[in-house]
Amino acid sequence: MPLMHRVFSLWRNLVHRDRIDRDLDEEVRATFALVVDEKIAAGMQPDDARRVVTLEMGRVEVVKEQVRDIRAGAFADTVLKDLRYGARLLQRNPVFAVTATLSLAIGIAANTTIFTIANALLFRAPAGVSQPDRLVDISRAEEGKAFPYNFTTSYPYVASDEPEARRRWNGRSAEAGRVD
Amino acid sequence: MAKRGTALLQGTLDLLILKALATGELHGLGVSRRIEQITRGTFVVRPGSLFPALHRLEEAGWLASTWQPSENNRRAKYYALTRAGRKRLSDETSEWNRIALAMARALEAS
Repeated sequence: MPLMHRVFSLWRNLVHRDRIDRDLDEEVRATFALVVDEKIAAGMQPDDARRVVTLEMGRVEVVKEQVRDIRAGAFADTVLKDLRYGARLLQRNPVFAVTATLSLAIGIAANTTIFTIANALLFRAPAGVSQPDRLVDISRAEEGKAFPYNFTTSYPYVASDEPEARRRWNGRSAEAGRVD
Repeated sequence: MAKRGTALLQGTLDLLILKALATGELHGLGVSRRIEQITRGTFVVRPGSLFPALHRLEEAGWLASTWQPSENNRRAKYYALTRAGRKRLSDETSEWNRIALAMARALEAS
Protein backbone atom coordinates (compact mmCIF):
# COMPACT_ATOMS: atom_id res chain seq x y z
CA MET A 1 0.00 0.00 0.00
CA PRO A 2 1.57 3.31 -1.07
CA LEU A 3 2.86 4.88 2.09
CA MET A 4 2.48 8.51 1.03
CA HIS A 5 -1.21 8.04 0.47
CA ARG A 6 -1.69 6.39 3.82
CA VAL A 7 0.13 9.21 5.61
CA PHE A 8 -1.87 11.80 3.72
CA SER A 9 -5.13 10.00 4.56
CA LEU A 10 -4.14 9.75 8.20
CA TRP A 11 -3.50 13.49 8.31
CA ARG A 12 -6.77 14.22 6.52
CA ASN A 13 -8.78 11.88 8.76
CA LEU A 14 -7.41 13.34 11.96
CA VAL A 15 -7.52 17.02 11.00
CA HIS A 16 -10.72 17.20 8.96
CA ARG A 17 -12.62 14.59 10.90
CA ASP A 18 -15.93 16.46 10.92
CA ARG A 19 -15.90 17.15 7.21
CA ILE A 20 -14.92 13.55 6.41
CA ASP A 21 -17.72 12.31 8.62
CA ARG A 22 -20.32 14.55 7.01
CA ASP A 23 -19.09 13.37 3.66
CA LEU A 24 -19.46 9.73 4.65
CA ASP A 25 -22.91 10.36 6.10
CA GLU A 26 -24.07 12.00 2.90
CA GLU A 27 -22.58 9.26 0.75
CA VAL A 28 -24.25 6.39 2.59
CA ARG A 29 -27.58 8.21 2.96
CA ALA A 30 -27.60 9.13 -0.73
CA THR A 31 -27.03 5.48 -1.63
CA PHE A 32 -29.91 4.36 0.56
CA ALA A 33 -32.14 7.10 -0.80
CA LEU A 34 -31.35 6.00 -4.33
CA VAL A 35 -32.56 2.47 -3.64
CA VAL A 36 -35.60 3.73 -1.73
CA ASP A 37 -36.50 5.96 -4.69
CA GLU A 38 -36.26 2.98 -7.01
CA LYS A 39 -38.58 0.91 -4.83
CA ILE A 40 -41.08 3.76 -4.63
CA ALA A 41 -40.92 4.20 -8.38
CA ALA A 42 -41.63 0.48 -8.65
CA GLY A 43 -44.85 1.06 -6.75
CA MET A 44 -43.91 0.48 -3.09
CA GLN A 45 -45.20 2.66 -0.27
CA PRO A 46 -42.44 5.01 1.01
CA ASP A 47 -42.45 3.56 4.53
CA ASP A 48 -42.34 -0.01 3.25
CA ALA A 49 -39.58 0.93 0.85
CA ARG A 50 -37.46 2.39 3.64
CA ARG A 51 -38.00 -0.68 5.81
CA VAL A 52 -37.15 -3.10 3.03
CA VAL A 53 -34.01 -1.19 2.11
CA THR A 54 -32.82 -1.15 5.73
CA LEU A 55 -33.38 -4.90 5.91
CA GLU A 56 -31.51 -5.45 2.65
CA MET A 57 -28.63 -3.07 3.18
CA GLY A 58 -28.21 -2.76 6.93
CA ARG A 59 -28.54 0.41 8.99
CA VAL A 60 -26.86 3.61 7.85
CA GLU A 61 -25.09 4.11 11.18
CA VAL A 62 -23.73 0.57 11.15
CA VAL A 63 -22.35 0.98 7.63
CA LYS A 64 -20.72 4.26 8.62
CA GLU A 65 -19.14 2.64 11.65
CA GLN A 66 -17.75 -0.11 9.43
CA VAL A 67 -16.13 2.49 7.19
CA ARG A 68 -14.67 4.37 10.15
CA ASP A 69 -13.10 1.14 11.40
CA ILE A 70 -10.89 0.73 8.34
CA ARG A 71 -9.76 4.34 7.98
CA ALA A 72 -6.18 5.36 8.53
CA GLY A 73 -5.96 6.52 12.12
CA ALA A 74 -8.91 4.42 13.25
CA PHE A 75 -6.65 3.12 15.98
CA ALA A 76 -5.74 6.60 17.25
CA ASP A 77 -9.42 7.44 17.13
CA THR A 78 -10.30 4.44 19.29
CA VAL A 79 -7.57 5.27 21.77
CA LEU A 80 -8.82 8.86 22.05
CA LYS A 81 -12.37 7.63 22.59
CA ASP A 82 -11.18 5.23 25.28
CA LEU A 83 -9.24 7.98 27.03
CA ARG A 84 -12.25 10.29 27.00
CA TYR A 85 -14.45 7.51 28.31
CA GLY A 86 -11.96 6.76 31.09
CA ALA A 87 -11.75 10.41 32.08
CA ARG A 88 -15.55 10.62 32.26
CA LEU A 89 -15.73 7.53 34.45
CA LEU A 90 -13.12 8.90 36.84
CA GLN A 91 -14.95 12.21 37.02
CA ARG A 92 -18.17 10.49 37.90
CA ASN A 93 -16.54 8.48 40.69
CA PRO A 94 -13.97 10.71 42.44
CA VAL A 95 -13.44 8.40 45.43
CA PHE A 96 -12.38 5.61 43.13
CA ALA A 97 -10.24 8.05 41.15
CA VAL A 98 -8.39 9.22 44.26
CA THR A 99 -7.91 5.67 45.56
CA ALA A 100 -6.57 4.46 42.23
CA THR A 101 -4.25 7.46 41.88
CA LEU A 102 -2.93 7.04 45.43
CA SER A 103 -2.34 3.30 44.97
CA LEU A 104 -0.41 4.01 41.80
CA ALA A 105 1.57 6.81 43.45
CA ILE A 106 2.53 4.67 46.44
CA GLY A 107 3.43 1.72 44.22
CA ILE A 108 5.60 3.81 41.94
CA ALA A 109 7.27 5.60 44.86
CA ALA A 110 8.10 2.33 46.63
CA ASN A 111 9.53 0.82 43.47
CA THR A 112 11.60 3.89 42.69
CA THR A 113 13.04 3.99 46.20
CA ILE A 114 13.94 0.32 46.26
CA PHE A 115 15.47 0.47 42.85
CA THR A 116 17.52 3.55 43.71
CA ILE A 117 18.97 1.76 46.73
CA ALA A 118 19.55 -1.52 44.91
CA ASN A 119 21.10 0.33 42.00
CA ALA A 120 23.59 2.15 44.25
CA LEU A 121 24.47 -0.95 46.29
CA LEU A 122 24.45 -3.76 43.76
CA PHE A 123 24.86 -2.48 40.23
CA ARG A 124 27.23 0.51 40.51
CA ALA A 125 30.91 0.33 41.31
CA PRO A 126 31.57 1.15 44.96
CA ALA A 127 32.66 4.73 45.53
CA GLY A 128 36.39 5.30 45.11
CA VAL A 129 37.06 2.31 42.84
CA SER A 130 38.49 3.48 39.56
CA GLN A 131 38.64 0.10 37.83
CA PRO A 132 35.78 -2.01 39.11
CA ASP A 133 36.53 -4.78 36.59
CA ARG A 134 39.82 -5.44 38.39
CA LEU A 135 38.29 -6.00 41.79
CA VAL A 136 39.20 -9.38 43.14
CA ASP A 137 37.44 -11.57 45.62
CA ILE A 138 39.83 -13.24 47.98
CA SER A 139 38.78 -16.05 50.18
CA ARG A 140 40.62 -18.55 52.21
CA ALA A 141 41.51 -22.00 50.97
CA GLU A 142 43.06 -24.98 52.65
CA GLU A 143 45.13 -27.48 50.72
CA GLY A 144 43.87 -26.19 47.41
CA LYS A 145 40.20 -26.46 48.43
CA ALA A 146 38.06 -23.40 48.99
CA PHE A 147 36.97 -22.83 52.51
CA PRO A 148 33.61 -24.52 52.89
CA TYR A 149 31.81 -21.33 53.79
CA ASN A 150 32.10 -18.12 51.98
CA PHE A 151 32.16 -15.10 54.12
CA THR A 152 32.39 -11.71 52.56
CA THR A 153 32.96 -8.36 54.03
CA SER A 154 31.80 -4.93 53.09
CA TYR A 155 33.90 -2.75 50.85
CA PRO A 156 34.22 0.09 53.37
CA TYR A 157 35.63 -2.44 55.82
CA VAL A 158 38.35 -3.54 53.43
CA ALA A 159 39.04 -0.03 52.31
CA SER A 160 39.51 1.29 55.81
CA ASP A 161 40.83 -1.65 57.80
CA GLU A 162 42.92 -3.59 55.35
CA PRO A 163 45.53 -1.26 53.92
CA GLU A 164 47.89 -4.20 54.17
CA ALA A 165 45.82 -6.32 51.82
CA ARG A 166 45.50 -3.49 49.33
CA ARG A 167 49.22 -2.98 49.22
CA ARG A 168 49.85 -6.64 48.73
CA TRP A 169 47.60 -6.74 45.72
CA ASN A 170 49.73 -4.31 43.85
CA GLY A 171 47.65 -1.27 44.53
CA ARG A 172 44.42 -2.95 43.47
CA SER A 173 41.44 -2.39 45.55
CA ALA A 174 40.13 -5.55 47.06
CA GLU A 175 36.96 -6.97 48.38
CA ALA A 176 38.09 -9.73 50.63
CA GLY A 177 37.22 -12.17 53.23
CA ARG A 178 39.29 -11.32 56.18
CA VAL A 179 42.65 -13.03 56.03
CA ASP A 180 44.05 -13.88 59.41
CA MET B 1 -20.76 -9.32 2.20
CA ALA B 2 -23.99 -11.11 1.66
CA LYS B 3 -23.65 -14.02 -0.65
CA ARG B 4 -26.04 -15.65 -2.90
CA GLY B 5 -24.15 -18.88 -3.20
CA THR B 6 -20.50 -18.11 -2.82
CA ALA B 7 -18.50 -16.39 -0.12
CA LEU B 8 -15.91 -13.93 -1.35
CA LEU B 9 -12.35 -15.01 -0.86
CA GLN B 10 -10.07 -12.66 1.04
CA GLY B 11 -8.80 -10.01 -1.34
CA THR B 12 -11.34 -10.84 -4.02
CA LEU B 13 -13.53 -7.87 -3.23
CA ASP B 14 -10.76 -5.36 -3.93
CA LEU B 15 -10.07 -6.91 -7.29
CA LEU B 16 -13.77 -6.99 -8.19
CA ILE B 17 -14.16 -3.32 -7.29
CA LEU B 18 -11.15 -2.33 -9.38
CA LYS B 19 -12.49 -4.38 -12.26
CA ALA B 20 -15.98 -2.91 -11.93
CA LEU B 21 -14.50 0.57 -12.26
CA ALA B 22 -12.27 -0.30 -15.21
CA THR B 23 -14.92 0.78 -17.71
CA GLY B 24 -15.63 4.13 -16.09
CA GLU B 25 -16.64 5.90 -12.89
CA LEU B 26 -19.56 4.68 -10.79
CA HIS B 27 -21.10 5.54 -7.43
CA GLY B 28 -21.15 3.01 -4.60
CA LEU B 29 -24.43 1.42 -5.58
CA GLY B 30 -23.29 1.35 -9.20
CA VAL B 31 -20.15 -0.54 -8.20
CA SER B 32 -22.18 -3.07 -6.27
CA ARG B 33 -24.61 -3.59 -9.19
CA ARG B 34 -21.79 -3.82 -11.69
CA ILE B 35 -20.13 -6.53 -9.60
CA GLU B 36 -23.40 -8.41 -9.43
CA GLN B 37 -23.71 -8.09 -13.19
CA ILE B 38 -20.19 -9.12 -14.18
CA THR B 39 -20.21 -12.10 -11.81
CA ARG B 40 -23.70 -12.98 -13.05
CA GLY B 41 -25.16 -12.71 -9.60
CA THR B 42 -22.61 -14.94 -7.91
CA PHE B 43 -21.43 -12.12 -5.67
CA VAL B 44 -23.75 -9.59 -4.10
CA VAL B 45 -21.77 -7.04 -2.14
CA ARG B 46 -23.67 -5.33 0.64
CA PRO B 47 -22.95 -1.75 1.75
CA GLY B 48 -21.34 -3.00 4.97
CA SER B 49 -18.53 -4.53 2.91
CA LEU B 50 -18.65 -2.24 -0.09
CA PHE B 51 -18.18 1.15 1.54
CA PRO B 52 -15.29 0.15 3.81
CA ALA B 53 -13.57 -1.38 0.79
CA LEU B 54 -14.14 1.71 -1.37
CA HIS B 55 -12.74 3.98 1.31
CA ARG B 56 -9.78 1.70 1.91
CA LEU B 57 -8.94 1.63 -1.80
CA GLU B 58 -9.30 5.41 -1.96
CA GLU B 59 -6.96 5.84 1.00
CA ALA B 60 -4.49 3.57 -0.75
CA GLY B 61 -4.58 5.89 -3.75
CA TRP B 62 -6.14 3.44 -6.18
CA LEU B 63 -9.46 5.24 -6.41
CA ALA B 64 -10.37 8.91 -6.58
CA SER B 65 -13.82 10.23 -5.74
CA THR B 66 -15.89 13.21 -6.80
CA TRP B 67 -19.39 14.38 -5.95
CA GLN B 68 -21.67 14.52 -8.96
CA PRO B 69 -25.38 14.65 -9.62
CA SER B 70 -26.76 11.14 -9.94
CA GLU B 71 -29.54 9.78 -12.13
CA ASN B 72 -32.39 10.85 -9.80
CA ASN B 73 -31.18 14.42 -9.23
CA ARG B 74 -29.45 13.60 -5.97
CA ARG B 75 -25.77 14.05 -5.34
CA ALA B 76 -23.72 10.87 -5.29
CA LYS B 77 -20.07 10.16 -4.72
CA TYR B 78 -18.53 8.72 -7.85
CA TYR B 79 -15.39 6.62 -7.78
CA ALA B 80 -12.87 6.29 -10.59
CA LEU B 81 -9.62 4.37 -10.99
CA THR B 82 -6.45 6.39 -10.62
CA ARG B 83 -3.37 5.54 -12.64
CA ALA B 84 -2.02 3.59 -9.66
CA GLY B 85 -5.39 1.85 -9.51
CA ARG B 86 -5.13 0.74 -13.13
CA LYS B 87 -1.68 -0.64 -12.51
CA ARG B 88 -2.95 -2.38 -9.40
CA LEU B 89 -5.80 -3.93 -11.40
CA SER B 90 -3.46 -5.36 -13.99
CA ASP B 91 -1.01 -6.63 -11.34
CA GLU B 92 -3.74 -8.26 -9.30
CA THR B 93 -5.34 -9.74 -12.39
CA SER B 94 -2.18 -11.56 -13.40
CA GLU B 95 -1.62 -12.65 -9.81
CA TRP B 96 -5.16 -13.95 -9.64
CA ASN B 97 -4.80 -15.86 -12.92
CA ARG B 98 -1.58 -17.42 -11.68
CA ILE B 99 -3.25 -18.61 -8.48
CA ALA B 100 -6.39 -19.80 -10.25
CA LEU B 101 -4.31 -21.81 -12.71
CA ALA B 102 -2.23 -23.35 -9.94
CA MET B 103 -5.35 -24.27 -7.97
CA ALA B 104 -7.03 -25.78 -11.02
CA ARG B 105 -3.95 -27.89 -11.72
CA ALA B 106 -3.65 -28.94 -8.09
CA LEU B 107 -7.25 -30.04 -7.92
CA GLU B 108 -7.00 -31.98 -11.17
CA ALA B 109 -3.85 -33.80 -10.13
CA SER B 110 -4.31 -37.50 -9.53
